[in-house]
Amino acid sequence: MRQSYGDQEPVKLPAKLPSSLWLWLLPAVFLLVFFFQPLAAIFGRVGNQTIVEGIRGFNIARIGQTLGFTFYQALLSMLLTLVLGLPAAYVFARFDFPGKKLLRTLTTIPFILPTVVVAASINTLIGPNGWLNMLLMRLFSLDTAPIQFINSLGAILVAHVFYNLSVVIRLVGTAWAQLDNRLVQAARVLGASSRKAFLEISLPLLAPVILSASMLVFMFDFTSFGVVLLLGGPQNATLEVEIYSQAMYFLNLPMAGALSVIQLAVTFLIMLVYTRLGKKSTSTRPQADTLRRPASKQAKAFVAVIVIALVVAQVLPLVSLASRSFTRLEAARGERGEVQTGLTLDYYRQLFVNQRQSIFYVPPATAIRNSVYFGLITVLIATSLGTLAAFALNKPGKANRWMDPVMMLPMGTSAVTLGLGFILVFNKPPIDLRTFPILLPIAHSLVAMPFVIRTMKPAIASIPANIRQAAAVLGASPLRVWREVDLPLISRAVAVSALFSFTISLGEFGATSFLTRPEMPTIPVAIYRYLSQPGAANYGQAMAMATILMLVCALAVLLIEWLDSSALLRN
Amino acid sequence: MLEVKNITKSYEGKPLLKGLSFTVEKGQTVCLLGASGSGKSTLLRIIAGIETQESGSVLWDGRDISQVPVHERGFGLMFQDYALFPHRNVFDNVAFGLKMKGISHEDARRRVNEVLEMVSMTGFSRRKVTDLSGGEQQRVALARALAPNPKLLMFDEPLGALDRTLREQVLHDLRDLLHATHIPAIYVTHDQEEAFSIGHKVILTNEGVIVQQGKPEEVYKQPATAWVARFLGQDNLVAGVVKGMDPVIVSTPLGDLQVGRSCCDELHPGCEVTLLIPPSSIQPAVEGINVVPGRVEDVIFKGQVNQVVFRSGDFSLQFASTSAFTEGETIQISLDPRELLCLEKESM
Repeated sequence: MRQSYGDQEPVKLPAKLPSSLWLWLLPAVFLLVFFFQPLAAIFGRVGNQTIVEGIRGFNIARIGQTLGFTFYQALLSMLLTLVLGLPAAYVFARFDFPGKKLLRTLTTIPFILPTVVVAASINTLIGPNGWLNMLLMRLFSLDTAPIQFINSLGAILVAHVFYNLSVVIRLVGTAWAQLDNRLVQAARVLGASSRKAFLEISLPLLAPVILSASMLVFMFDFTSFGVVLLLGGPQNATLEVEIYSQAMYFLNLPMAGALSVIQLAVTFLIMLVYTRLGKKSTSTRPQADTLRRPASKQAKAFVAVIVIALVVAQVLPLVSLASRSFTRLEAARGERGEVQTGLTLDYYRQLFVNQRQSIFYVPPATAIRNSVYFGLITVLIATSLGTLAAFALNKPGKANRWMDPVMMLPMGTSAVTLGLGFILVFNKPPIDLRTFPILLPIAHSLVAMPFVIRTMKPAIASIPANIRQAAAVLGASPLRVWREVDLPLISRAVAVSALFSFTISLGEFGATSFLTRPEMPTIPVAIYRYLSQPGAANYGQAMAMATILMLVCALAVLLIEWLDSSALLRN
Repeated sequence: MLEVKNITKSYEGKPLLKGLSFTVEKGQTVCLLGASGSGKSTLLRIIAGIETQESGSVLWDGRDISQVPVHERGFGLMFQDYALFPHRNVFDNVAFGLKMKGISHEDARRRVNEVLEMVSMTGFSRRKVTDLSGGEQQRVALARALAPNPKLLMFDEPLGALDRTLREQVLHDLRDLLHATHIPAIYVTHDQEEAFSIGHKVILTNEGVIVQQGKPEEVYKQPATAWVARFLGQDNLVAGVVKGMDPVIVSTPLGDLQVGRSCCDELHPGCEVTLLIPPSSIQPAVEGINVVPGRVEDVIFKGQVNQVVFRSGDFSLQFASTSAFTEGETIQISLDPRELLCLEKESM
């Protein structure tokens, strides 16, 4: 934040918005009713006697095993992400090469992709019917797929790396690019080799951001749901998946609650460390002249290897998904004789046709409509409440010290847990999920609000106080100052927030899978349903929908980048 | 017109302003001069209504306006780094105050063009303020402050961000403009040259109190305290003890000196003082009153004159001279008693 008056105390804003208490009112009530109440319900269940019976019916060893596996896969995923992410961050921070901007945008798309789409992408690449297996089968005339990767830990790891690589590239890469290059130069002049300078100067300065990026990635991996559900198979259940199965298939709510509490405890711990780390910032100074073209052969080779690796890891799955949705490879149901293969638009056409006369069958077009409808409501709720909270957080006040982390809590809470809490609290008379479809966008808003606040807070803070003061001195009343100065200056951030909220709502799967009504599925739920049914037509339609979702997300990324290139990495 | 009475304000529990009072008369430009961090800007912001004083009052034409909110005071303030609205072009920045007054679009446009002309920025109205140079932004900020015809104009270190040549140019223009418009003005700066060239009155503040106020010439010629002398760049200060009266003789490391002026409350033999030796009082001389022998320690070329560092024993004096001296040369100087000034002993 710019403080223009070096010798001045931070001055209270002359533009008195409604006092910060009023600003807090709506976001706080919202959080209280729709976040803390469901959480309290889960805690209540756990304290309840039924839990004992629940656990007896379960298996303590299984809980330990699940928890252990969750940790193990998260740790492994995080380490793999770092192994590829750190060199990539370095390349982005220090080198200029053709197509860099495009590659940066493409590598960012996976981060905002719905888990279902991620899973589908990985599936089209290395699944039993994926491109790689088909290529190998044709090359070596095999009858069965040589790579049995799906339903294994490996598939989870690949998906997690695909998903979170951009977090490391973005966070660490930006810090690296802003690292005062003169420090390294000073070290070199003082006799440090480039390796020594990296170890003694760059690495220690980057350590906090590397650590906080790792924590974030770990948390995403720890609470990952869709990816594990779709790619991990039954034997590889994480806590999040186990909560879902316990609640949905075994109807063992107390057990699900107990698992949720364990999960909450762990994620809160991670969030706590993460927010602590966030406060330590690396000393940086913006600079323009540190980018260079790779000159030596070594540097060229290094950049080339990283670029190829990124294309394989981040872009190939996207291309694979899109191409699969246009390709017909197997006989459709009921078709006999020669299988027609080739390019087709059938899967997209079928999206708009009600093929089956089933009551529970919902045409994909309806799912798309539902998703857009929920998305728009989410945009409305999350953006307005998040903006109010961000304004309140920018007011001086002691309350903000603890309101800030409190507002971030939903980010560290698993969506499945949230969905479970919603069922416990709201799925009883007089409200039930069927008559109260707005609960779904409310849950989405809870997930999206921390992102909105993270986007809005710096935007509001970056408005220099003296600009508001200048407007006031020139005769603008407080309300007028807000309208003439604040509002126009945050409009971009509001647009970015809206885009974030929309894509989050569009792709949210964890809470949605709990709360969705059978006849009102969203796109990810529909994709999941298609994927769990056999047949090329179902698979094709799942791919077609996933491709549409991917394109929408890619468009959102492009728009966000265009509006505010630093927005994505703040989150 | 403006009367500031006993303003106090503290910052993080420490007093920043300890009861300041002064007035600004019609058409007068008053300079608040003081070191960075001395609270001058805070005082300005209290007058503007951006901050509130803890006690004391701000009066306009005899009426206490302490409770009037900032946007209703009708004063103009030019901010240190201009605080231009980044999302508006030059025209809309300048027109902002007029818009707030509800002035018709047509009248506003006429007025904007008028003030843009005053600051020589005609033709810039459609430009983005973020594309302007520092000097241009400065002019737009001035135009914006002037446009609504403020009752009082305030400047918070307005030239701080400009380079030296530009500063002199702008200072000159600003001076002409203020003297032409007759708008009373308060000008905050830490630069004595700026203060002296623009102010009708200079107010020196230190540690939250006004140390001295008066016309620039008076203040410079007759600093009230050793701090003022030092702040104004007069470093030839020497500790001494009054030895005799009529004429006043002060015993100093430079010898016994006859002194013609005093700012001390009382002066009697035996009292300790700090003696100010203005550079203009120093002449190379062989005989006369207050002759001090010594040698030339250093000669610094300063363009039209040379800055001579003269040393006598442990004490060195600086003065400007057109004569050529060589380093190490033994010379004698005489100190004109009419210009020597006794000040209260400087507390260390």
